[in-house]
Amino acid sequence: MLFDAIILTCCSRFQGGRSVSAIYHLLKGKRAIQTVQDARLYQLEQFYGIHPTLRKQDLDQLVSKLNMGDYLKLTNESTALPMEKGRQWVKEHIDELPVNCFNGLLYSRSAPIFQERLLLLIQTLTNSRMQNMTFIPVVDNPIVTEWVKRTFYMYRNEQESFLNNLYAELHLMLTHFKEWEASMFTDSLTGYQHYGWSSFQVSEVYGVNKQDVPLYKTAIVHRMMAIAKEKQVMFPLLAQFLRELPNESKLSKSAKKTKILLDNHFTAENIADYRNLKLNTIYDHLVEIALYDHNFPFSMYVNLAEQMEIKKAMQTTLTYKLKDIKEAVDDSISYFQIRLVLAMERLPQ
Amino acid sequence: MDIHKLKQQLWKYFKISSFRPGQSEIIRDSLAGNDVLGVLPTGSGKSLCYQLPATLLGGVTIVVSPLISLMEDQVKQLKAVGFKSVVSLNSFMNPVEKKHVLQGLDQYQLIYLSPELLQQRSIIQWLQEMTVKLFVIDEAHCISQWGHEFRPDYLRLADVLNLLNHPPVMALSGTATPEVQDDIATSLNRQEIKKHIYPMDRDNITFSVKKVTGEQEKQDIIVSLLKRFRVPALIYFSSKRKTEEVAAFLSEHMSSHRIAFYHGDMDQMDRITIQQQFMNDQIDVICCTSAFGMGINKQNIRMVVHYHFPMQMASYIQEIGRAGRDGKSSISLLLYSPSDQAIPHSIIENELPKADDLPHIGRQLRQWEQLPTTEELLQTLGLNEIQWRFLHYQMEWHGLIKNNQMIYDQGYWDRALQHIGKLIGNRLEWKHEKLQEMLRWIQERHCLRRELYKGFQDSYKPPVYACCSNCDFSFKHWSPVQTSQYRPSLTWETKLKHIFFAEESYAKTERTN
Repeated sequence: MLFDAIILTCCSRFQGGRSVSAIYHLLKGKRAIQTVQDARLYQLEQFYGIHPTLRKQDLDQLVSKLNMGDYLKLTNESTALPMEKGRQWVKEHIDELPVNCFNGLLYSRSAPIFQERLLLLIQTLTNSRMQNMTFIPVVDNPIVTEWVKRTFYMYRNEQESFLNNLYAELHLMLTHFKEWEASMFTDSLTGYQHYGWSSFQVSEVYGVNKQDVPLYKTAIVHRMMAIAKEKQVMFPLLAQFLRELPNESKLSKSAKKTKILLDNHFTAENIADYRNLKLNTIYDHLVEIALYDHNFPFSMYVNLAEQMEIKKAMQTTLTYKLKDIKEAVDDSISYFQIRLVLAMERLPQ
Repeated sequence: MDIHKLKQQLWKYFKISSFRPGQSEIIRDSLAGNDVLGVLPTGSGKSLCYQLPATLLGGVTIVVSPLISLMEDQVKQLKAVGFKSVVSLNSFMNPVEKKHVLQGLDQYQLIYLSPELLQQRSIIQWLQEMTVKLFVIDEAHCISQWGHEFRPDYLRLADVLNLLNHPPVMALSGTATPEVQDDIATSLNRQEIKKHIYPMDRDNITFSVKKVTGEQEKQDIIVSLLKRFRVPALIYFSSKRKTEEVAAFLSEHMSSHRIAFYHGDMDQMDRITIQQQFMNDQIDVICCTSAFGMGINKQNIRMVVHYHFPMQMASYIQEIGRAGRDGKSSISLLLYSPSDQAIPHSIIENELPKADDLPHIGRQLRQWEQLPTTEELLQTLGLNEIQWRFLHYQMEWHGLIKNNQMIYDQGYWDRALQHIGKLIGNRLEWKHEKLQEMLRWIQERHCLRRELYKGFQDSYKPPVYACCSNCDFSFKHWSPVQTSQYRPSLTWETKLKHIFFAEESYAKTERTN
């Protein structure tokens, strides 16, 4: 039901201007500039990246179901327009669905980390309280486990009060939600000798569609994050957890892989070899990385004299256009080097 | 090493105060540098037999294990008890991750490896750099063509042992007939291997075989039994899809029970969750495939139901062994409907390439000079992974493929393929024979216990409770220890408090509330 409402909302905002694939990319949170611009242009920021595990065939199936039921109409250009019945249905159900809890553009990358840290922290604290350190962690993502270890260590001498405070905050937090939302969230928590319910189990017990369960959880977590941020005084611990979330990585997946190798002192040529990619692709990655990374070793790829020359050319040509700059500098300077210097210039100081 | 010191080490690393039968004997023989073959019934703590030596030997202990998911579960469980210098390596890891692990390989005491990884020369080279103190072959029956899960990769282990300069071997299995035991010793070229064979009969399990007319009756029986006896139960299926279907049916008809399904296609976190919930009595019944079981150590499973019968007796013995580890009265119930006979035949067909297809496959293979990616290869040849694994091994063994290159010689190639075809015929025949054995047992009129164990050991202990449905058993007289009913009427506030501050199992407090 929640998923249907999201799709119908997307369709009515897109108004046929974008295909079903665009909905897919939006919900998956594709990093392409196009997708992010779509989210902004059509005011669908809230849904950006809220369903990272979505499969195209599941979306297509749902769309065709809505099509058959006359909730929306599929056109030849594989766009989907909402029908009167669909609009009416959304209007009737919008109040019972947490559609407006989502804030995807802001939280889609950090929410899973926030949620998993909370889960693992509760599992760790409640087990430690019972002197049981031989439990199987529910999360094994290092970005989560490392943080939980650190936090656990930090509070090791005041575990009791830490647990009490966390409980109090979470309890207060859940009173901001509907009874059954609070209940669903609680059922997914793991404690001492108790493992939280899987999505499948939640869907059975709450009579919710299996596809909807992760969406409900995501909606709850997004709203929690928003509340904790807004009312920091009431939620000091949760607000602190928020502040400790890693900076959102803006790199594409492939660039990220390149970055790992780069950090391990691979050269661009090595990386191209190792990953079986064209050298130019790796250069694209390096530029992407340089755009966000203050520690990027610019001088390895473009020495100081070359940097000066490129910057001078930028000033004289008064342009960011690559071709103009290229013509104004020595032939030995490559497009790649110019792009790097441009990236360097755009780094926020 | 004396037993006292061993026990100290056992406590220090695993917080376990005493050994179970067989463990200390195997461990001491192994620590003395002997090659050891341990055949211990399911659930008797086989893995401890190498985990403890790994902490004592210095150098590294290598464990070859056939199932990647189970390997990863074991690593998780070991880390959970504080044994951190353990890692698993398999071919599904991404290259960066693998390289990372390989570069730090010498910091581990215990390394789990999948058998196919040991076929890679680079891996062997890494291992040659280290001092391998013990080479463990888990599920060693996989080495034998006569075992119930033959894995061609395992046959190459003898070569690996040579390359690693002959480290001491520990071969472990839950079910190995004398025939399979000999095969293990021969294949590994360790004729002097010291055998520790423990009987696998279980005196607290009662056997019951029930003939039914079809699926509906099976499901009705399960519902009525579980309603009558509130006991933790496992239900085995031969199809993943069926586990889900029947779990859904049972949930619908027994709202008083919490039911889950479990199979190898689920992701690892979901599998662990289900296992742990079952351990904590948060789940009453699990519908599963044979993927469920290893690494799970639940004491109070009272009933193991076979919704589909296994392909052979050895698998059956292994699966029912999960019932009644605490020694209390437990039942193995096998439900048989005549239409079930079709299922195992199709499973057997799927395990081997068709002999008739070999000439065609051979022609196709020759068009490649070098083997393409597995994915492309399976697609083009129309084989599944198990079938290709078998064929690949056989073709390498006959020298038709070497280092992924085709070695082509018309006359020899044809003869070799014919030979492989014959082998496939023999394997099929053998599998069908085993299947017939299983079917005969199901139809048996005499004592099921006697007939079940007679192919595996000379004698068996007299049953503590009822013997079997052919001797004396009827559900009317069964009075197992039951669990109390779960009452899910708590508010979220109560549940939250329980999760944060419960002093005993949440499930138990849930039940008594």
